[in-house]
Parts: sequence; C-alpha cells; structure tokens
Amino acid sequence: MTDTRKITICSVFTAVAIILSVVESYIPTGSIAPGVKLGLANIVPLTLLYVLGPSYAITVQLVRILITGLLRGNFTMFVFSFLGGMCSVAVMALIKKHNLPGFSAVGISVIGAAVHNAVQFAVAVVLLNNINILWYAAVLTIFAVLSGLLTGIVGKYAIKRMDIYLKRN
Amino acid sequence: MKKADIILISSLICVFLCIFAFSLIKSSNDFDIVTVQKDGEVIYEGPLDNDMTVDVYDDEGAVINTVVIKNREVYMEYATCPNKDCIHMGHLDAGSSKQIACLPNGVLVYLISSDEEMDGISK
Repeated sequence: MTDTRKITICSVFTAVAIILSVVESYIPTGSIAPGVKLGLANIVPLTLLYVLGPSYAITVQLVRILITGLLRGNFTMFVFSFLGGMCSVAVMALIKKHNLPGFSAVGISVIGAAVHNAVQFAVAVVLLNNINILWYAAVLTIFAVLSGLLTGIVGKYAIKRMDIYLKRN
Repeated sequence: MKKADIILISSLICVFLCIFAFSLIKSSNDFDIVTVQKDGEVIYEGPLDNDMTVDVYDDEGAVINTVVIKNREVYMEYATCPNKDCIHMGHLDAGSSKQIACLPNGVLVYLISSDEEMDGISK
C-alpha cells in the first residue's frame, strides 16, 4: 500500500470518528443511566488496528480526541476523553499483538471499552477525591461491555469490508 | 465471535453484576447528612431535614451548580456542564448511599449517616 493511500485512509477515518463522536452526543443513552455512552468512535481505532496497524490507530485516536476536545471546549472533559481514549487504544493494540487467549475483534473491542471506562473512573476518583463513587463503576462497566460488544460487531464487519476493498483495488 | 470472547464478556458481566448487587445490599442505613464537595473539599454539610438551596461557585465567583434539599430529598437543580448528567441522576433520599456527581465541574453530592460522621470525628 502506498503512503498516499495510508494517509488518505487515515484522514477519512479521522473524519468518520469525529462525526461519530458528534452523532453520539445526540443519542440520549444518558437517560438509561447517567454517563452511559455508546462509544461509537471506538469503531475507528478498532478497524484501523486491523487494517493499517497500531501506530495508525493510535495517531488517528489522538487527532480525533484533540479535535473533539476543541469542539466541546471543556478542559476537564478533554482530560477524561484523552486519558480514557489513549489508554483504551494502547491496551487494544497490546492485546491484539500478544493475543494469547485468541480474542476476535469483538473481544478486543469489549476490552477497549472496559479499559476506557476503568481509566475514566480512576480519573473521577482522583478528581472528586472520593472512593465511594466506585459502586457506580460497576453499573457503567456492565453498559461498557454491552456497548463494546455492539461496536465490536460493527467493527468486525467494517474490517471485513475494508479488507475486501483493499484487496480489490 | 470466538469462544474466548464469549467467556470474556460473560465473566465481566457476571463480576460487575455481583459488585452492583453487593452495593445495593449495603445501603440499608439511614443517610441523613447532606455533603457537597468541590474538587475534593467539603463545602457544605447539613441535615437532610432542612429544606434549603446550596449554590456551588467556581473560582471567579459564578454559580456552577445548584443543589436543592427538599422534603428529605436532595437533587441537582442547575449545572453549567454540557451533558447535565448530574441533573439526570435524579433525587437521593435517606435510604440511599448513592452520589450525584458533576464531573466537568468537579462537584460531588452525597449522603452520609450521622453515625458515620461521628466515626469520622473519632478517627
């Protein structure tokens, strides 16, 4: 694959990830339980991890978080999405590289969602200086696993389509 | 989806459902003291019986959150944050040990029982 093609794929995926982040903010999942999110933007680093490799997935994730952070303009929320998002993609890349239990893209997506959730909760505990909020982590982790399953299934099909597309052209 | 995925997903859900169930059992005490915390510091503490409004200010002195205590319930009435998750968290009553958190503003509202507060002092 040529460098030009890789750069083009990365820019399109970054744009898609930003759009998914914006679309997600209009879906009222917070009414199920406050803080519940679909994590649609997680589809992008997951797909890139398989299509182009870890360094591309991490870079696109970084650019996506920086741009959506600028769009939202709340510094605390930026810190949350930065730490959660970067740890999530890093762990997904590591698990994929040393995949001993044999997880598929769906399993890796679930791990990514759970890590995202756990890191953000750790930040919240430090920020609020209160360990008692951890009971709520259990609720959110259950939803994170379910949304990770959903985005993982979508990601699995995106990976399959991208592979077919790249082989054909 | 592979076998490892199914084991991972089902075990994660089981573990966290158990933790959640455990947290429900624990909250049988009467929690009657309202505590409002900003950036880890307690800024208000008072009984749940007093109907009143607590405003939380930022460093420039503007109101960022309004906590209302009414009819032995406490809830977040106003917040400057974008998602308003804290407002959607609903009302806390004396039977609950839960919290209302507004992460963008670093504000946390929770209930403790008066016995617990005594313990805190004696420590």
